[in-house]
Amino acid sequence: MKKLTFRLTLAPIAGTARAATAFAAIGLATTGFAACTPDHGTVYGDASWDPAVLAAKDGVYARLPSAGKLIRVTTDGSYAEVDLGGAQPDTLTLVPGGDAVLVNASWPVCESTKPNLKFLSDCDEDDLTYGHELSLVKDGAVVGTTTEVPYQFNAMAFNADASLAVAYLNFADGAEIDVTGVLNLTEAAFMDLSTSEVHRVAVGFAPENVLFTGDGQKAVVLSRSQVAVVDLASWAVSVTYPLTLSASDVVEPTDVELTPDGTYALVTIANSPNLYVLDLVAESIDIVELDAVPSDLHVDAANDRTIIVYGNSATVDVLEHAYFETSAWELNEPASAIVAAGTANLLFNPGSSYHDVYSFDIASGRLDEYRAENPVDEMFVTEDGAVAIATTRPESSGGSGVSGFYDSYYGLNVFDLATGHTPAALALESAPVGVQLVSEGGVNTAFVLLDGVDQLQQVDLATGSSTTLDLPAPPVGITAIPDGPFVVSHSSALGLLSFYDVASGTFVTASNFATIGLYGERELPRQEVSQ
Amino acid sequence: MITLALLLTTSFSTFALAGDAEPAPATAAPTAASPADAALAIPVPTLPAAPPVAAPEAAAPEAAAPEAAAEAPPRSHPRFGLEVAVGAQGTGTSSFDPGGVRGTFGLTGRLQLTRALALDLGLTHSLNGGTRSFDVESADSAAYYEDEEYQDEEYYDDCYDCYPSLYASTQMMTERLDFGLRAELPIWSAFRPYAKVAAIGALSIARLDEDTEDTENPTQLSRAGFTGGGYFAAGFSTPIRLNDTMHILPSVEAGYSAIAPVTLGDLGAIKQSGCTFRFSSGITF
Repeated sequence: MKKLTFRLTLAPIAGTARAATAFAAIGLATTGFAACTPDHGTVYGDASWDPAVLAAKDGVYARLPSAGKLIRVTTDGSYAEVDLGGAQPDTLTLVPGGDAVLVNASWPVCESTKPNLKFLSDCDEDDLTYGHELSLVKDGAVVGTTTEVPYQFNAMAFNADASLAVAYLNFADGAEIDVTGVLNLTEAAFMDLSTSEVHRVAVGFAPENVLFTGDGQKAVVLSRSQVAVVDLASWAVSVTYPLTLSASDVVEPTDVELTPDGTYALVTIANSPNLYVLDLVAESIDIVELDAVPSDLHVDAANDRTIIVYGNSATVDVLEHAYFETSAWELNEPASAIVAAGTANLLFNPGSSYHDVYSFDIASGRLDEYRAENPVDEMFVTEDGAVAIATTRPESSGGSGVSGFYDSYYGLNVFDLATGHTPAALALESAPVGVQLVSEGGVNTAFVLLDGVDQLQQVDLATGSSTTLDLPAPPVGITAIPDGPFVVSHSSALGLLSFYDVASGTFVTASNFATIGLYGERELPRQEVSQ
Repeated sequence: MITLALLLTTSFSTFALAGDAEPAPATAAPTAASPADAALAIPVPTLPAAPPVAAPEAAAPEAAAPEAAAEAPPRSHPRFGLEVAVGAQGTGTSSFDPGGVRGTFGLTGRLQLTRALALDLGLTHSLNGGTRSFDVESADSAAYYEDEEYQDEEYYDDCYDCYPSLYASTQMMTERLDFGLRAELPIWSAFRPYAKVAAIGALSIARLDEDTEDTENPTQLSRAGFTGGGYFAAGFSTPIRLNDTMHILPSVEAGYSAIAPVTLGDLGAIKQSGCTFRFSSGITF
């Protein structure tokens, strides 16, 4: 009887337990199947790669911000990581000539005393600092490193043979400057690229522009209210030119050019029509008063003259270098920029509503006027100086017919500088994101990338005819490897570059390189700060 | 956790290896004859002995059957089992599993060693995916920020979704093999807790694709990696008895998969360890 009672008591409970388990299994099985369904949710991450690549002779260098790596992609489509010793690349600078790349890199340092620190996530944010270094990379490997150049220095200039670089702080682009500890705003850092030796020289407050003399013996540094000349043998300032006699007056130099013989430095001043002529030999200052505030100046070495244009005045001045006297030519519209074009110089006004482009030959005094169909954005000139092309942008149309039609499109205007004709005015499907010119066998060709268009436009500049080359994805930029193929960057999450060889007319694609190190936990690569 | 799992498995195994726990069926004791029965006894004449008759062949197996039964007693528990399970596993990373959780579907074969101890061989499949968004690198990037709208900082602050981004579809398929012991505590026929310990081998294949509609697009890749580890779990089942040897076995189980990160080529290493939950139903026979 006792046994029977036992069965009577537990049987319904057992049944309930079974039923509950079965229902739970069925119900949660449904949940499990739902969980198995692919494509549920988005994971957000940093940029996988920076399409603003640098094309060096040995390949294309690209940053991978998400993985904190630097890679080199070669023209055969292969790629490999550049070992920076655990540091992540912050900025890249191409050494002129394309032989090497300077990399500003940083790495996390955890100052905690906790044991077994391995991953970045092991370190509290308050204990995290960063070390910085500047590395020279060549052929996919680091060949020199220094920690003596302050990482905040965001501008760089090179001497003529690219053996010496100078880093300084440029506030012009408005970038945020990080101040950790003490930051010296009066110095520039000169680096010998062959030995990685660094010399830090006090050149004045907020240096903004550096120019090396042709003989490589001196560097002219513009800073607030003064110009300093640094002797590159002794690494000391040999002479300082004050730009004002009153300490309370602030004079901001904007641009500097050297005369062909290296004797004089021509310095323009912000919001001032004064042109400072600094005699680097006699160590004297002369001031030439111009007609207006200059927008641009360019030294024509062949004619030993300087061309000066004014954005608000339809005039171009020519300054001779003996007595620094100017001669003026009248224009129909103001020009604010100068581009050298063989024996002539092109004058135009980018970013304005003006259409005129002028070809000015100082030697003959010939001034030819060209008119673009729409306002000019950029100007490109072939190597031989025979042909120039201007990219134009849409404008509000007041005309009708063809003019009214063209006003609503981005355009490409071709100017034959030899004959003075305008062989072509091309309408573009969308905004041009990159233009490269090639001159081969007397044929001038422009390669144009259009925003959102999966094709590379190949334009014969003599006839204006074009052919299209299919691209694997929409392009975002084009550059060229020195003496090598064009490199097209594409809008791609996983990384996509196309190398186009003009001679063979073939494409080689490099893809998926931005996935290197995409996953996994970031480690603490170094634990000591060597700076 | 490993020590606790081993202790649980050992304690369950002790019960399992003790053999059948069911008591022998009760037998009735013979009753003695009463004096009343003896008074009513009627003498029975003795019949002449019958000539010997050859025993029919059918009798031989009957005589042999009891011997056979003595050598092989009837099976008192299921010998094999087959189980289907669905569940989820936390991976501690959202690399391919948004929220860090991965759905699983598995099949387990079981060889019952004793009533309460079994060898399990299981294959678990998981296929998860999603979308990964990549910010556009703005520093010096051509074209992206030429749109005046993007150059307005206030526009950015008010509209997080307005940041330009690029997307790629992601998918991770994992085939996992578990081989281990399952030890049950048969405290009650309707509710059987158990513990499980197993060795794991897992093959993972990760896929990234920017354009899943174009099979020829160059920006797609797959990477594979193999890893191993151990699995420790506890759960309970509520058997539904069909007959002496066949049961339907719904179960609920929770445990931890301790798996080494899987290296997917140059993609990097993905965490695999995490808590595991399974809900299964099977049949034992």
